[in-house]
Amino acid sequence: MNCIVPPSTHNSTTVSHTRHTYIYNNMLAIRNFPRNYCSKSTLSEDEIQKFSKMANEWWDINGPFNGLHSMNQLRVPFIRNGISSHQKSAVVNATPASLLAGCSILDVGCGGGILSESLGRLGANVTAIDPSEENVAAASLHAQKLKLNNVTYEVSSVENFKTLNPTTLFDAVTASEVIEHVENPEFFIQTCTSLLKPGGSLFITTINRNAASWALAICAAEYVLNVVPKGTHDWNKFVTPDELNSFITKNGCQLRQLHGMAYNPFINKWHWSRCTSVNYALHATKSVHD
Amino acid sequence: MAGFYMNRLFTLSKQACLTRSLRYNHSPASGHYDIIISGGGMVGFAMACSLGRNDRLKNKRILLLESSNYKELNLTAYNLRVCALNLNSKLLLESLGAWQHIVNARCSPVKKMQVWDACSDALITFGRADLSEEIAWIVENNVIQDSLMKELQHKNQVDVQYQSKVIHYRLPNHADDAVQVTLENGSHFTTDLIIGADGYNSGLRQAMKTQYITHNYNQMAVVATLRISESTENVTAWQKFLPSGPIALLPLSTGLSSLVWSTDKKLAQHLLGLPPEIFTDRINQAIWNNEDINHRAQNVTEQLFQLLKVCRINSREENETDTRQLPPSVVGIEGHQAAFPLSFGHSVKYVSPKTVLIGDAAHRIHPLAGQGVNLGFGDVAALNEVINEAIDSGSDHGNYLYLQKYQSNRQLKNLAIMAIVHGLHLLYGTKSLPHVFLRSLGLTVTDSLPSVKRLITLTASA
Ligand SMILES: Cc1cc2nc3c(=O)[nH]c(=O)nc-3n(C[C@H](O)[C@H](O)[C@H](O)COP(=O)(O)OP(=O)(O)OC[C@H]3O[C@@H](n4cnc5c(N)ncnc54)[C@H](O)[C@@H]3O)c2cc1C
Repeated sequence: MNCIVPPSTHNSTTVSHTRHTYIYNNMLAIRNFPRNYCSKSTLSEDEIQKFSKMANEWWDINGPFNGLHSMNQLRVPFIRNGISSHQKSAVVNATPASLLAGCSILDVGCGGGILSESLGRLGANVTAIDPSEENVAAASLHAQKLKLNNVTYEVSSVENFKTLNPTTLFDAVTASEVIEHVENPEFFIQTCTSLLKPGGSLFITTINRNAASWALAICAAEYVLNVVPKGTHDWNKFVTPDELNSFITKNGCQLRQLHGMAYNPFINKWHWSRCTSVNYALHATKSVHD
Repeated sequence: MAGFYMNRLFTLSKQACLTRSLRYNHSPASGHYDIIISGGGMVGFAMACSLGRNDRLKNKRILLLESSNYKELNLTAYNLRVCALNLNSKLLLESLGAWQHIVNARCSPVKKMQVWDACSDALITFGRADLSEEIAWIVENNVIQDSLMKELQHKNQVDVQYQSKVIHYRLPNHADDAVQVTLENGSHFTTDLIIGADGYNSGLRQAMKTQYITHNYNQMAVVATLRISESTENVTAWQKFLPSGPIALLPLSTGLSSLVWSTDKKLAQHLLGLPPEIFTDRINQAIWNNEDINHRAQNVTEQLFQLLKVCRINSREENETDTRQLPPSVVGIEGHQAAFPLSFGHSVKYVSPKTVLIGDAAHRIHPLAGQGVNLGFGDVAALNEVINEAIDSGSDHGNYLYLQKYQSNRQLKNLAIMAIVHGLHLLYGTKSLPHVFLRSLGLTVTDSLPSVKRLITLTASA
């Protein structure tokens, strides 16, 4: 998750803790976590309490993750429109109440499930993965509370998931605010695209690597505003749109849309922007002939 | 009423038992609804219809709670409470399927409005000279209400309960908790979104603990159904600004108009006590008398007119009808006169998590511009729209971010209109020269600026 999260009056130690756990640094370090939290039995009472507290934090729209809740207003329509305009066959069951019915989506780096749940509420069958056990536990508890049964959470990195499910393919793969935390972004994209059906969609939102993002993300957020702990972001890991485009092209995908995103922390609102120099969103589709 | 209930009982087979007991208010019940609307006035019913027709909410359960009894529509006498609906309200009611029921019952189109000042020669008219366009529709409140109830009969996902007064709301502290609603009869419901359409004394607004800005005009609106002698078609709405407040005659049928006379409390009490003949005389005096005319003011107004003409801002391309027409004279009243207190009120917040106010619960306005219910219908359309947006973005239908969007959209519109109407009221409530001058200016300038005029006739509409 990137740092463009507004200054928050909320308890900042918990915030940074949660953010740290969310970070993808140990993505490739495959650990043996319980695989599916929808079978809740593996959690103790204490753990449930701890995770529901975390879930409360993830799901408090005025809380530390309000920037991500607000980003849904942009990224969910981006994904929805991307799928319905480029993959009509994936949403044949759509109704006004569930525009993505029948569509299978893998949400990589799902965190507390803020994006996964929205996609699930649109009727998609969502598999949401995150290497952090805490995040996945919090996300599953929340989905259970809402009786949202078309979202399944698993503790896993995308590479691990691919290894364990070599033949599973999805209509769409989303990785929102994730790639900037990944050790090897090129390999990450390769794995994500390998999980797509022919014609399937890849959606990425992330943060650019240039002077503007350095100033905003590292200086402002970490040093001046203190909204994320120093060192949360490694600027060198940020990926530029050009690099991302070359990764997807190498993996047989075609760029469909690239939009800049801008955030106003004072009103907690995201809007589309022509400028991709800080945050941006990308939609690519995999070639139909695989 | 029985018909209505029976109909609904059959369609709701699954919950038949629950529904029956709720409807007749026999024993307390409980349950969860996706949306609860508190208050079934015109605005609450319009909201219920709008949600009931919404395809995105097909699998949701919606409940409307109204404290009073169901009332069968009775068209023998005209109702004392009428509204001047603007074009957008008509379009909303059409889209809800209710307009057809209104036309089948009765309503009266307005093709021209004439507004003038008792203390000067200032005058505004709205509408086409050849009366070729309908600019507003006078409909009795109970006809509007009934048309919406009729439409709602076909909406299976909406339950309607009369005799169901909410006595307590418990609003959530956390986004995942439900709103709890307790009724006077002991019933207890939870919901993911509570919509307050419970009128100007809104209990939900009080539970929100939001600041409410009020102003007591110390005025009452005296209303009555008038018999008028009008040789031509009765399609003009008349409004005259008296120093004590505006008096309006709204067409109901060929020989009948509805009176809305806003005046200070003392005069209102006096008018209420008058026998019909004397009351009729007083209305005619109020409409016809020019004794309040302030010649100095008139002079100033005329000069201002000249000035505006010279400056070429007095453009009349919108209409060429600003010739003074004579209002009808009143020959008697049907039934009795009645009075309603008037006040101004505005809730600083329209929303809190899972909670939203619409209609008079959020804003109360002086009836001088006849905008009250029009603003409420505007709220209904706007709220339905943000609910759609929330659902299309995979959010819960009561998502706070989207409710906040509703709030900022509506406050922008409602406040602009309320400020104009409140300002007009302040301007008109006096005989003192500067004010009379200012209000002449107000009328004249308004008349000169097509956009402002449009704002007054339509805006409220948006
Ligand atoms: C004299 C006068 C003339 C007017 N003329 C016009 C006009 O020409 N044009 C116009 O647009 N507007 C006009 N208005 C304003 C218009 O009447 C109101 O704006 C409109 O009635 C508001 O509708 P509502 O549904 O929001 O509220 P209300 O009509 O007040 O309805 C609220 C409903 O909620 C119910 N309720 C209240 N508390 C509870 C509870 N605790 N539990 C359950 N139910 C509850 C009540 O029983 C009621 O049915 C006029 C108003 C007055 C006073």
